[in-house]
Amino acid sequence: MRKWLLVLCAVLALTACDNKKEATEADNKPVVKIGVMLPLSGEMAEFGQNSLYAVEFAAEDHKDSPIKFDIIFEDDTFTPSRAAVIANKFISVDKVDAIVTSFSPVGSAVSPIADKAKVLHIGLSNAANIAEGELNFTDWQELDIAAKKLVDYLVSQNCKKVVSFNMETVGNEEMRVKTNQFLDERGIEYKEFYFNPDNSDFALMIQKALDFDADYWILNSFSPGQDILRKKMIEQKIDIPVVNIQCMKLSKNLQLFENQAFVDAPDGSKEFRERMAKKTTSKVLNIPAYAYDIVDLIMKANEDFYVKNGRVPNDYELADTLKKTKFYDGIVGKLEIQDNGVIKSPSVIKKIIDGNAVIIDD
Amino acid sequence: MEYLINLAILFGIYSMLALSLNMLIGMSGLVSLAQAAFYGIGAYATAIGMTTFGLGFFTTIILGIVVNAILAFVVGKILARFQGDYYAIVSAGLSIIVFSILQNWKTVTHGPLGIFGIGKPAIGSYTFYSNTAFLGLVVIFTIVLYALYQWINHSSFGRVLKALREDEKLAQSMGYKTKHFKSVIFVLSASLSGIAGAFFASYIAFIDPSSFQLKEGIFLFTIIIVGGLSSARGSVVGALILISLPEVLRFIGLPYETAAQLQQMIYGAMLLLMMIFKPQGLFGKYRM
Repeated sequence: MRKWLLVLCAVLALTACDNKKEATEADNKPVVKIGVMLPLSGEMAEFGQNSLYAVEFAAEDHKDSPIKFDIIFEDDTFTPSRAAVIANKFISVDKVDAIVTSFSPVGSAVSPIADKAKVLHIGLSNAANIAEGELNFTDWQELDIAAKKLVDYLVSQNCKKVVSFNMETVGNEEMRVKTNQFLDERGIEYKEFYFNPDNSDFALMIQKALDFDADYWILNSFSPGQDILRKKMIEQKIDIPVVNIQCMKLSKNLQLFENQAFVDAPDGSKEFRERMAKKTTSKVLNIPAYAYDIVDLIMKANEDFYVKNGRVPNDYELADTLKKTKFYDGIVGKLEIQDNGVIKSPSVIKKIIDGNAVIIDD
Repeated sequence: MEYLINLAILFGIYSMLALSLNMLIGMSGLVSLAQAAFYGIGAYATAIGMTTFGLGFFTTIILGIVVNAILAFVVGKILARFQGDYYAIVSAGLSIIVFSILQNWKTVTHGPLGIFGIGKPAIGSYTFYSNTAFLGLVVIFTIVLYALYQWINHSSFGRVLKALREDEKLAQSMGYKTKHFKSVIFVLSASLSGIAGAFFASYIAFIDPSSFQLKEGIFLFTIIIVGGLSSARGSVVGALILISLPEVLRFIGLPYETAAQLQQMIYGAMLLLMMIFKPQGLFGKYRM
């Protein structure tokens, strides 16, 4: 048994040392290493695997670059503790020049490690805390922009009164507060209901909502809450249109929401969607599209710096180049890179048509 | 090297958790899946104590121990009525309840957004900021827990627990108040897992409820099953294997497009083989 344990320790130590190479010149090109951690197994694997394809596309699109980009993928299993270990592997074993993470818990675990090690990190998330420190950035659909988009859409549909059904979670609470702010600004009347999918009296709540005679109902709830409400509406033949931010696309039963609109992050360009269609049948393409943009952004910033200075940038120079870029035309639309490390990105209106989420307003 | 130090820190934290859980399951045969809940409470006590109230790390460890002890005392009274599978199911229920509280008590726990910026331990003006120093602290606490485990294991209290594990009715017929013993070991195990939670919170510097779900309790249970029940050495070796094996698999040169899935398959197959050939775990002294 001791032998077995010794072998395990030896393998671990040797393998950890194995990749200890400095960025070297390959084919006379300088090498920039980008460590990308994604949930490639577990409950979020669909998003991780599709994002991997998207990052591969970004690498393909830069194969003629004067810089050789070496992408190292690791599976974070959507676990913050595992992400922390991987971040340290990227930094001390792989010696990466930049780290890309996806989703808030993972990005939040990696952010302080990257900050301490002075390595550039971009998290695919809208948690602003991830952007703390000079070298940390976040990129995802800004809730302010999404809420404004939703209210603009309601205004465009001549909506005067809305009812909002709000599930009691932090995410939905933030959406409710932001949406109300814009509803107030645009003079739309609203009535609010709060519920818990496990124990709320939906029938009574719906009856009270009908008394308000609203033009739209905002189903500010993830599934199963939004699905239960929608089923009750259909059962009672209530034909008031429903809207929400992001939640609708995550319903397992999109048919329930046929012809209903929601605000979402963009899915990427038509060309990107076509490329992805060759790799995956998944319909959730906005996360991979953001992953593409993040990696593409890092590569372009490296190239820009290289062209001007004849060498690849260090992490501070890379961060500075990113911040000076200010605006970047990504495949999800125009991104604004702010000095605080938050990358603001656009929102789009989608509609469920034939069971698929289709962009109706690019 | 930094990578190995970080891995060692995680290994130390999980060793503490495994030792605390093996005290309960290995010594007394009470299968609890609630360990992740107490681990989480310890982590949140440190996170909230340090970020909201500005307490020191070691003060928050005591806070976590006290909160866990009180909760475990109350819950332990209820759990002591159950045996075998029912004990496991009720303890799983506790884990789910604690997770829901962490997720929904937004004003205190920040819900799914979690708590950021958790500081490092400090003694006087010295802060354990470097990972090497932090590892040293983790090792000290792991050794203390290991010694405590061995001390309990060889004490008269430990022997009563083993009697309870082998035949509770027989232990009762000898005059032992088994509910009392069950309650005490449950409180002790829960309190000690809070220490691991405190180190985890400080190490990661960010915690959210997702790290303390029921599946984490099952993972801890797997660690002690692989290492061996009723064995301090087994707890540590189990943690070493389950924490380091996924990392070793990162380096075996699998094609990256399928590496994650293959790693999971190899990981699962290795655990399966281990259970076939070593069903009592590597150093197990007791088989369920």
